[in-house]
Amino acid sequence: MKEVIAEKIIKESSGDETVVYFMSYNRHYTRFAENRITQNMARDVTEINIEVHFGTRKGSAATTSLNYEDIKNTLKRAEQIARHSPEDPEYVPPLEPVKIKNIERFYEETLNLTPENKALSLRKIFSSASRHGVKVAGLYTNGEREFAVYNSRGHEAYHKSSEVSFSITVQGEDSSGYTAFFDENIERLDLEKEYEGAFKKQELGKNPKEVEPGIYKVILEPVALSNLLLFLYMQMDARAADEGRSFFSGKIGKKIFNELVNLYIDPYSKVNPAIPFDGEGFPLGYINLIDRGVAKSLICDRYWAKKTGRKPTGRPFFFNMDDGQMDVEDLIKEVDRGILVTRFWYIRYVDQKSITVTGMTRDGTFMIEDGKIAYGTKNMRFNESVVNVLKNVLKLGKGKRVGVEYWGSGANYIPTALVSEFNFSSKTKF
Amino acid sequence: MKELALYAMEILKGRGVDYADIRITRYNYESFIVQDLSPKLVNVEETYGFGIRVLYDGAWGFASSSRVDKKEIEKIAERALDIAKSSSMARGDFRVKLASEPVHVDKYLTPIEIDPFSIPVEEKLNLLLKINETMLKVKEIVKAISRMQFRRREQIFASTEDSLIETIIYTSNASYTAFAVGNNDTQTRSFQDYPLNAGYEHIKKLGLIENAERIAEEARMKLYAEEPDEEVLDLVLDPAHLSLTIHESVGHPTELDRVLGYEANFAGRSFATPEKLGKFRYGSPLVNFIADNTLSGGLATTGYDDEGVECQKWYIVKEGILVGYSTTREVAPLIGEVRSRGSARADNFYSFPINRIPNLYLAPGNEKATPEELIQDVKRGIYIEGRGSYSIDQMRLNFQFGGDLFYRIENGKKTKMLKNVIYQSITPEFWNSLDGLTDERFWEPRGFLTCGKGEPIQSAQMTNGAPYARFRKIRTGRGRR
Repeated sequence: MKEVIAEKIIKESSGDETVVYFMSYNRHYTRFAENRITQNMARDVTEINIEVHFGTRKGSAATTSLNYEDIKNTLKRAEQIARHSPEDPEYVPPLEPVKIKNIERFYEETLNLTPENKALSLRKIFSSASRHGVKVAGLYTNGEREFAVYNSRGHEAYHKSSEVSFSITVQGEDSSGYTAFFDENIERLDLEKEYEGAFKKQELGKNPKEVEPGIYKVILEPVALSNLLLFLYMQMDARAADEGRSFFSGKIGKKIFNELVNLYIDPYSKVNPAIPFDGEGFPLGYINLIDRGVAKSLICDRYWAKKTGRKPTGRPFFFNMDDGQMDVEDLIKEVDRGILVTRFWYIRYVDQKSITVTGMTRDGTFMIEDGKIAYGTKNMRFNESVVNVLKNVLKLGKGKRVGVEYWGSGANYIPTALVSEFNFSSKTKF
Repeated sequence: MKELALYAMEILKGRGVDYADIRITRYNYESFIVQDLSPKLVNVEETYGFGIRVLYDGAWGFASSSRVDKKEIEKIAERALDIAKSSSMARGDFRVKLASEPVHVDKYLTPIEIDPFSIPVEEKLNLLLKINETMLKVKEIVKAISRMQFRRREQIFASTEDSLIETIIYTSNASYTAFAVGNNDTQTRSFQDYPLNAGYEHIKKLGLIENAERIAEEARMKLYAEEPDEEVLDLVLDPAHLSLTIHESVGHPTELDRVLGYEANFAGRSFATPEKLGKFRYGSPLVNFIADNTLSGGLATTGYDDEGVECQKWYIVKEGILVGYSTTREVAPLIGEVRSRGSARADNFYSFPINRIPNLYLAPGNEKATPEELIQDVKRGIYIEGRGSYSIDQMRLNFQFGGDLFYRIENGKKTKMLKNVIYQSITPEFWNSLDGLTDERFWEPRGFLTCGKGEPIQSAQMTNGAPYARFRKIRTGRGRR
C-alpha cells in the first residue's frame, strides 16, 4: 500500500524530483512504578513526509493522515514551500536506484504479546518485589516499525522490524539496580532473569559507602560504555573534522585508542542486525571506523563526499564495538581496587573538541577490592574524555545489545570494558 | 471535532468507567534550519488525531489513532478500555483516584498580533540566511547555523465529567550559533532560544540581525580567552543561564510524580520529598520560585492542561522554604492535596499526559538593583551568560553547569573573558548561597521547547524566567580534561 501511495504521489508531483518517506510505529508500551502498572498505552501512527525539489530548491511537508486527499494536500504544501525556498548551494539530487539486501528482523510472535499477557507476567514481578520490600519501575514495550523511502528516480528502500524492549529499576531503601534488554524476538526475553539481575544489584548495593572523588580503575558495563560512546560517535563526522571542529580533525590513520578498540558499522552483523539503510534510503554496509585503535574513517554524507572526493557512507545510527571473551566476574577478579559502573545518567558534553563529557553514576555502582565486589558506593559525578577512556582500555569483556531509540528501532553492540583511569570529580548524597 | 469528542464520552459513560477523556489534537509545525548558506531543513508538518484515556477499576488504559471518524472512535474507545482492564490486573491494592476539578466549558486562544504561519517562507529563510552571512563575515567563523520554529496546536478536550475545552496555542522561536576555529581551539557562541507562546511579533522584537555580528565576534574572542583554574568563587548569573539551572534543580525535583517514584526507571526521583513540605530550606530567604501557568507569553500558558484542569499560579518555594509541587489529578491526592495544579501535559495526540514542569520562575528582588550593582560587591568571581553544558543527578542534588560566555570578576568589575568554565554544587546548598537579585527591570522569561521526560520520551515546553542573581562561594573549574 505504501508503494502504491508513493507511486501516485510521485506521479502527481510537479517537482523536478520527489521523495516520499513513510515511518510507521505500531507499539504497545506498559510502564510500571511502585509495583504497579502506571501507564498502559497503544500507539499506532504513520507519518508520511514528502520532499519536493525544483532545481536546487527543496521543501518538505509531513502528515499523519492516511487519507489520500490529505496526502495530496501535503504534496501541495511541499511543492509550495519548495518553490519559495532559496537555492541550496549544497544541493544533492535524490539517490539513483540501488538494490538493498534485506535483513530479516521481523518476528510475528513479538506482536502477539497482549497487554493482558504483559500485565500477568509483570504482576508476578510486582508480588515478588513487594515480598522483598523493594519497588520496581520500568518499561515493557513490544511492537513493530516500518520505514520506507521511494523517490522519483526509482529508488526504493523498505524495512520492517519487530521489537521488544524491557528495562527495570529495583529500588531498595538506600540502593538500586538496573537491567535492560532489547531484541526483535520476544522469545529471547527472560523477564524473570532481568528482574533478578536488577534485584541482585540492589541487594549488593545496600548500605552504600561514600567514596572520595578521584581517578579510579573502572569496569564499565555495556549500558554505561554505550552511554559514553554515543558522544564519541556524534563527533565522527568527516565534515566537522575537515572544518577543524572535531577531535577527529587530522586523526585519520593515526593510532588514537588502545589496540583492543575496534569500532564499526555493520547492519548485517550477526550479533546486532540493524536497518540496512539510512534516513534517505542510502544503503549501509560495513564501515571500519576504528581498527585496533587506529582511526580509519568517518561518517560522510553525499554532499561532503562529492566535494572532498570521498565515498559517501550514509548516516548510520547504530554501531558495534568488538567485545572480548571474559565475563564481568572475570574482569572483577583482575581489579585490585576500582569501581564497577552499571549505568550513567545525564551525560552532556563539557568540551566537544576533546570529547570531554560529564555525567553521574546510577543504579548499581560498586567498589571492587582484591578482585571482589567489596560494597556498594554512593553515586558520583565524572568529568572525563571518552578519548581517554578508549586509550586506557585494559581488557574487554563480553558484550550485549544496548537498545537505542532513534527513527529506526535498533541497538548498539557494546562490550564490558576494564579501564585503567577514570576521573570521578564530585560526589552526591545517595 | 466537538461532536466526535462528545460521542466518545457518551460511549464510555455507558461502559462503567471510573473516568475517561479524549483529546482531539491538530499540530502544525514549521521548522527551518539554515547551515552556512544552505537551507538544510525547510519543513512543514501536520499531525492530527485523537487519544482516549480510560480509568477503569482504578487503573489506566490509553489508545490513539490518526483516523478521526466515528467508527475509529468506537474502536479506540474499546481498545483503551480493554487496556485499562489489563492494567487493573496489575494494580495491587492501589486505585487511581482523581482530584476533583470543576466542570469547564470554555475556549482559550493564545493572544497573537501576527500569525507566524501567515509570514511567507522566503521571508523567514532570507532572515536566517542574512544572519548566517553576517556571522560568516567575521574572521575565524567557520560555520553558522540558524533556526526558526513555529507551532500551532488546536485541541478539543472532553471528559466524562462533561468538561469541554477548546484551545488554540501558538509558539514562536528563533536562535542561532556561530562556530569559531583558531588558536588550536573550537568555540561556539549562540543567540539562544527565547521561545514564547506568541506570534511572529515576538521574532521581530528579538533583534536577530542586530546581534549576529556581536555573537560571532564573541565566539571568536572565546578562542583566545583563558581557561580558569579550580577555585571556590562567587558567581553572577544572567537570566538565560539561570533559566536552565532553575529548570533542572527546581522544576524537575518538584514534579510530584517523580517525587512519588513514578519516573524511577528513567527521569529519576527527587530529594524534595513530601515530609519536607512547609519546612525544608530550599534556598536563602531571598529565593521565591513561583509557578504560573497564567503568565503572559509563557510556554505552558494554555488556559487548561491536558486533563482539563485550569491553569493556575502558586508558590513552589516561598522565602526559601519548599511549599509546593507541580501536580496532576492522579498524584495530587496522594499527598492530601484537594486539587491538581494543572501540570499534566502530553506532547501529541498519541501520548499519555504526564506531570510536567509549569512556567516556573525566580521572582525578582524587591530592592532596586542592576547587574552591575551585583557585580560591584564581588571581590573575585565569574560572570556567566547563557546556557552551556548541564548535568544533574537523578535525585536532582549534584549538578554541574557550564555556560555560553564567561568573564572574570575582580574587585567589583568584569575583566577578562574566560572559556570552558564549569561550576558544581548541590541544589539546596546552591540556592542557599544566593545573596543578591536584580529587580523586575532585569527579569526575562526564557524557556524550553524540548524538555524530555517519560517513557517513551515526551517533549514539553515551559517558561523558566529569572532576574540576574549572585551566589557566594561556589566550586568552579575548567571543563576540559
